[in-house]
Amino acid sequence: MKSIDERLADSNPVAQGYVPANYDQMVTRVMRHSRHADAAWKTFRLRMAGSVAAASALTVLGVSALNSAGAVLPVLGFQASAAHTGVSPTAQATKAGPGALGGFMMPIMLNYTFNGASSLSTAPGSAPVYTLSAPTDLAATLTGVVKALGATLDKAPSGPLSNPSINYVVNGKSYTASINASNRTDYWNVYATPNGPTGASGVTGAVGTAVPPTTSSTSPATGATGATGATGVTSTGGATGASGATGVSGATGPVAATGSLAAQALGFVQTLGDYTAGSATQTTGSGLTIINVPLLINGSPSDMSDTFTFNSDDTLQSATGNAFNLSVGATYPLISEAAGVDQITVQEKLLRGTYATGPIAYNSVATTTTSGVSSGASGSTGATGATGTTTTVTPLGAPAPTTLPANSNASPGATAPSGASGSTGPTTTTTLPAPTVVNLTTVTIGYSSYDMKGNGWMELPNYNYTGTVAKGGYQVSFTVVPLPSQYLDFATNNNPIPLGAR
Amino acid sequence: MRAQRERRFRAVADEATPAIGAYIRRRIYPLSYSDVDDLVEEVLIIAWRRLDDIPTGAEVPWLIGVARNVLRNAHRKFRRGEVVAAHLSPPPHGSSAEDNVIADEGVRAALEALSDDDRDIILLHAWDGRSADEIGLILGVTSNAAAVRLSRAQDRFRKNFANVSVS
Repeated sequence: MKSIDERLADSNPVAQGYVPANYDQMVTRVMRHSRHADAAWKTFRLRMAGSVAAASALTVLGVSALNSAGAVLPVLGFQASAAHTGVSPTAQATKAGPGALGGFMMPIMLNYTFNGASSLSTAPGSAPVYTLSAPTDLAATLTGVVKALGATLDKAPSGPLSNPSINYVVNGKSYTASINASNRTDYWNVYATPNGPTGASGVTGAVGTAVPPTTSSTSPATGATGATGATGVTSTGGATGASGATGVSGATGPVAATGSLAAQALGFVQTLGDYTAGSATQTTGSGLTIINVPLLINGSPSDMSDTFTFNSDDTLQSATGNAFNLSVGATYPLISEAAGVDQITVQEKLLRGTYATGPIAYNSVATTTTSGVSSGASGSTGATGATGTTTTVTPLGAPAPTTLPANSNASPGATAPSGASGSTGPTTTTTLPAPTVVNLTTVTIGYSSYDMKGNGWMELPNYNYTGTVAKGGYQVSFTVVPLPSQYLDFATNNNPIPLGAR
Repeated sequence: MRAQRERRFRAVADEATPAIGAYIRRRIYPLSYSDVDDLVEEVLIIAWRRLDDIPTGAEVPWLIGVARNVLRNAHRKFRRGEVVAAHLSPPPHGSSAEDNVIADEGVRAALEALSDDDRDIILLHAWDGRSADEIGLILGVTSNAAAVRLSRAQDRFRKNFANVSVS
């Protein structure tokens, strides 16, 4: 009997790729087109920009030798186009503010000013970086996951599986398991087979074989960063809260997870691999209890977690998580938390350079927002500048527009020769947001994964700043990679998605 | 320079066109199959114009994202035409493009009960073979968010399927 997933795959009406019959002529025809932008691209680009500004922008770098005198640590360079998966160095509204549009992460405005840096620590620190890789033997990994959870499968998964896009599914007596490969971490999912005749016993087996509760959160390593861990749990709890929104009606939480279910979840994590579990949180509702266990790196919260859902009888209903390998790399110095505040804007600008050049401009949508999550369109301004036209940049609420030479990144002298023609050319008016004042409230250290140029993924330390927008009261967060600038290289991050460029 | 650009475009097109074509063909309803080639060409034109913007190593998901948008625009145009036609003919049924081509009644019903977003992400994975990372790029969310959304959508699909099977 076929599984649900097999039946879904079988229902694919176009199982093979489709190539138009006149493909060659089509390609030739296409290459005769000019290279002007079109409306469909523009819409897509603006939407995509949200994720890439928050994701791709944050990818990191390859390792190249640092030639400066005395330096022995490699320079870490951001990958030009790969995705960053964790908390991004871009600002994100952690609570829906007026700038949170449709749930999409939007490119942030750079017009922030920060209060509260003076109260942060001025002590530099150090932290190791890690290389991150996903197990390549998906069959063995899946088998290990299922075994760790105490479930048994009717048949063992077999491999090798070379296509990371394949969803590998195995039908078990009690559970079905799947695993999705990526270059960074394999995502696995184990769930009780609906209405399975032997599901109950299998589920019981899963609980019965859980290892004794491991209170890793109280281990010395974790305890040393207890304060950080606490905040990290809050952050992770947000993610768990989202799961509550997916159908657990009347959900409560997330709150700190305690009791036998938390112990089971922590035990699962310990059995799944050489991972350090943080303080778990739980959300309850609809007879289900969802335990989210953050995975720590160097005692700090990372961008990975495992989630376990239990039925009302405490049997395991489903579990999902990450399988990965970490290798410790060099230990880098860290700038202080106070100095990191300055890097928020610096890194934002560097990373934004991935998408646009020229002065930051905003489209009409952006002008309606006050948070740091609106979309920008600096590319359009740059393009205008290239033609010698004039751009007027108007901060919101400003008494009168300030007319600047187009492409204000250029020196006035460089602009002057085109001024004559610019004076007769079209004028583009772009409205900049007023500076957004953020009162910083907390800073925590954590780790997030970045795609290294030519060297796979790395987990790098982050400072995660949380603050409240003075005018509006909603919460925003910012992340920076707090390594000294000589160890960071964003230079290869060149404009894969020009916002607003035409 | 142009030759180099053309070579890269051909490489990108050769790699992505089968996936783009299949993606559009799977979801072409209520448009006609004869529209598929036109839409593929529209996607390739955008690829040509934006060749420098296409991230190396992520060409296919990137262009599926474009195809998704192109297809939506085509559907919107079609529906606008339907509004006019509605004065002359009975209203169209509400089934989705996917529903129209799925023979497995249980799968069809379970998919139909999903939200558009859930159905979208599930089929990107199950039919188009996209990984969580790629779905994140297509949908404009982070990889982690895509993985979580996919996992939850799969859970809901399975629950729907179980309910359909029971009933």
